[in-house]
Amino acid sequence: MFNKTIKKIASEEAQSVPQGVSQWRLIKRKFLKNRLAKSGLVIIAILYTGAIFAEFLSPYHMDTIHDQFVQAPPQRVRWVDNDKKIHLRPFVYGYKKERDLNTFRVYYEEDRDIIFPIKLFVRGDSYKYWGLFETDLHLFGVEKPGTWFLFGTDATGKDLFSRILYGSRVSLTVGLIGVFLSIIFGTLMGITSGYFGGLVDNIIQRVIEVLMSFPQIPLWMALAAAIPPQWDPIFVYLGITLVLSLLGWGGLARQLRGKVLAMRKQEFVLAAKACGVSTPSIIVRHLVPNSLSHIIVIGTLAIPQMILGETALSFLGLGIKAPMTSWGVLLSQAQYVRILLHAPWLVIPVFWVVATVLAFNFVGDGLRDAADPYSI
Amino acid sequence: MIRYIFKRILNAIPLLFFVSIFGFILINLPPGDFLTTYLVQLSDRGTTVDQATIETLKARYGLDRPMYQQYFMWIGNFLKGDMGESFGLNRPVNDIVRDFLPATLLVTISTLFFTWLMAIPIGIYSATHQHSWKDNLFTVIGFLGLAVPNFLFALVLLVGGFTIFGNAPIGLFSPEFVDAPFSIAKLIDLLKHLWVPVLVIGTSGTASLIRIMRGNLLDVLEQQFIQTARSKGLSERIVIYKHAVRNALHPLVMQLGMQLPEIFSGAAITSIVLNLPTLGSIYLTAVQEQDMYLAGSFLMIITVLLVVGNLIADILLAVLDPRVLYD
Amino acid sequence: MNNDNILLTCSGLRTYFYTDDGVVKAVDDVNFTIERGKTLGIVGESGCGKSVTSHSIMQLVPKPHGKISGGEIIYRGHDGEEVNIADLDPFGPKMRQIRGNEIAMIFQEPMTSLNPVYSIGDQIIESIRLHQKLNKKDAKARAIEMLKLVGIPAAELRVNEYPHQLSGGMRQRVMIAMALSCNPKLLIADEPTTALDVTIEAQILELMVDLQKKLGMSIMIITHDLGVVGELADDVAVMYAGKVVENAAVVDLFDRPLHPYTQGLLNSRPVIGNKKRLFSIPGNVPHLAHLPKGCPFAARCANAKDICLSEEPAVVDAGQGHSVRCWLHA
Repeated sequence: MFNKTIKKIASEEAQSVPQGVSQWRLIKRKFLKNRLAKSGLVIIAILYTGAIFAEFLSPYHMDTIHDQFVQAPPQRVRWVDNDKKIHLRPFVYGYKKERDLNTFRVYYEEDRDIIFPIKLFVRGDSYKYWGLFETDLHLFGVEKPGTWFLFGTDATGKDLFSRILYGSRVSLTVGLIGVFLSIIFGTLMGITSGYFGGLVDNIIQRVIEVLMSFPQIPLWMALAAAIPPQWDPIFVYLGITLVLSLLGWGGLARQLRGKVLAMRKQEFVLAAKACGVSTPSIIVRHLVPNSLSHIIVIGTLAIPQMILGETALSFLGLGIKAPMTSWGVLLSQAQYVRILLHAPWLVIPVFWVVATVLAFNFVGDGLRDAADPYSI
Repeated sequence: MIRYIFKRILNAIPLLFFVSIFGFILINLPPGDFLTTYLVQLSDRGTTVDQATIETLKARYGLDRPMYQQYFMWIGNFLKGDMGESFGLNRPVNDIVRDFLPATLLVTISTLFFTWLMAIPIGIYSATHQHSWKDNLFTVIGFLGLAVPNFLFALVLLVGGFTIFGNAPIGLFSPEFVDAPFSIAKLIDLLKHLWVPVLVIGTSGTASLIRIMRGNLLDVLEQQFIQTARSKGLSERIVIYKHAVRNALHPLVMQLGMQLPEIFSGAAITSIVLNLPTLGSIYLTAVQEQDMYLAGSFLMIITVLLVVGNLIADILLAVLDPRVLYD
Repeated sequence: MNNDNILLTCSGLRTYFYTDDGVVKAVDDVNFTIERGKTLGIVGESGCGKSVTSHSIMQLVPKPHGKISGGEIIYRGHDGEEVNIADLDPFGPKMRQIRGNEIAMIFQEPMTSLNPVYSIGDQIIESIRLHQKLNKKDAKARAIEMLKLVGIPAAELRVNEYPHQLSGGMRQRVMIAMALSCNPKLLIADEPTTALDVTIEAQILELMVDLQKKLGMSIMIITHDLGVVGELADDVAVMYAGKVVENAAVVDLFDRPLHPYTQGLLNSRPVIGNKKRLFSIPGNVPHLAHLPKGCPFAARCANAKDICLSEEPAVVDAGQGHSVRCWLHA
């Protein structure tokens, strides 16, 4: 109550100061005050930059097989060599292979005599950047025949770091496109349901109820299994996105319906109706903009859910198919304890998943707090 | 109260009906049908099947009939207690469910209790010690719990178990106890294994419940009747536990309906990694092999469990909050 | 004034809120006394600190931001023993013994002041059993008796009902019954009728006058409505921006309001039959975290002098227990 008294006083002041400042400016101002949300935004920006420039940023092409280095551990970046000499340029040691005669397992050990300096703008695997022009320039790497596996290699001898960057294209877009689709669908359904009410509302609500009464992952699994495996990987990818969004719209539609039901009786909608504004126009001009901040918040918080969903499906082998890759696909290699004990670096992609999910959650939370600019 | 429960049950019936239709369509969605898959499997094993056998099989499962008739056949048998035959496992689905359901329920219910037992006290603590370092710590753990995929957490525990204890806590029993009759030793062995899936599945749920509980309690503590309770001279303990917490539990119980599907989801994927004898772990192969009766039964059983869970939540809600019955 | 007649004395009370925006001086150097069996009205606009004053007496200022930062609240209980409430631990047993038992409180929002999940009987019984050694049965009988006293029909049945089954006026009656169930010496009523319809408001005020006659407790009523004060109070304290600007017996205040703010309040009341435009005090209440120098009312005052803008006025005695905090009367 006293809090309320103070809040009242403060909000009266807050309202008196930014007169004429639009709601979006207020949201932005409040959002930027939130340190956690801001850092989330920075992380997201970094991750997407990595996805956009994957070919250039990764030292190798995602499909390059280093058959001499299968399941090689990460090569440590060093500045000081064996003779305690400090190098101006970071370097990695080469690997020498040894075979354990008891288990016949191959081990890699650093060969302290071979030094590969890490250089900027090296020539390496050639790629066609976004299908536009062909080049072999990489931001960093070591010159051939040296190798540099920042996060080691997988069971087929592919560089894990490069694959994480390439995989982020799929992992980071699945959530984005999926949320976009489910927002469109959810907004349409939610607003229709709330605005028209009656039978339409009833049917839509029952459909949502049925959809929501299934547990998400088993349903995703069933739907993902329905995607024919012989399809082109790109269609499988789109199919997975569709599957993820198919279940995501229910919650959004429900919340929007509630908002629209409340708004429908408010004066500005009644006024628009009284002026003879048509129903679609009321929806587009009044209801959607008024719910937009709400939609964006829900959407932001749904993205990590979908990213986790894709990761889970791909992990189980129901998701993205080779030659495409995603973080989930990469993690599926680490499915067995046996493998994990010998090649623990295979779980590194999960840090990308966690970082992404955390970042989106921080941003979503920040947006939610900021979306209501008049509350203190 | 009885009228209220009756109304709830009545409401659940059409829901179950639509769910069954949807589930049926879903299972039949993949191109081809299970018989084709089945025949391919048979011929892979070198068994050739003549046309007559195929026809008998088709007739037996009603595959020669239109879709809607197939549906009614399936749901009719389901209601009579016959869930059909699993092609992948070559056993009646009833038998499989009988074998796997107890572990499924055990894991699910234990997880549910775990999440609530953890979330409520921590939520209360966080709300009453807002912005303390422990509150912040719980927030961080909560965020991480939401962000780390279940299956990975399971893997980490397995690897940890392996490096520390020398064996990974896979499954629900040690090999020597799997077929052993019930005994105290078996129970202890079960508990030794059970904590892994419970922790794995429960963490993300606990994390979100803590946040809900904390938020609710903070809201409730701002309300007027809390001041009233204090103004009576009640101690802070009674104010919080008797007056505030009971009001804050309301949205939490409503959350139960949302939480059960999450637990089933988590259980499905975790079971696969941990190799638990639950329905979830056989469900993956069932959907992959288009083992429709098995997969369909799984979806139906889970939904029935959810409906029952929601019913319990509704009843609990009515007990907790007299306003529910009044509406 | 006989000292034995004084139930509570507030002197130099300061309650501050330490917020991100700075220190909000919600109550700043407030003085008043409440006599036994009498009613003190505290009047002021919302945000002037009148509610915080009443919560300070109950030691219910919300932690961690709010704190009683100075002054005394001397309470004289049954045996004339003096307690300084401002010194007590808000959560300690001594303060809890006073709360509900010696000083009880009712609030502005009857719709939300009762816990929705317990029956009204349970809530009254809880209070009775906390402070009096009664068994459950006797406590329930006492609760029903109290409900009858506040005019709730069919009290034996209503006692088992839940708050949501009652109307706003009924709930406020229940609140009063609960507050008075332990025979407190002082009833603090924080805008008890603001949220109610006018007809219900009249009933509740009448009930309070009636109960005061029967039970003899003192009442401290907080309101923004001078009409309520006129009907109920014996003495009035007018608050503005965390300070008591004028303090007088109710008749005296209406007869000769001295502070320009009090005059403004009296002038802005509608008079039946008068169709002239209603007077309103120009300007707004200043923000309590950023109070201007000098008299906080100076910016809105038609008679402000230079000194009003530079120096804070002191309390001036205007005789007959009438005091005012204004340079115009210095």
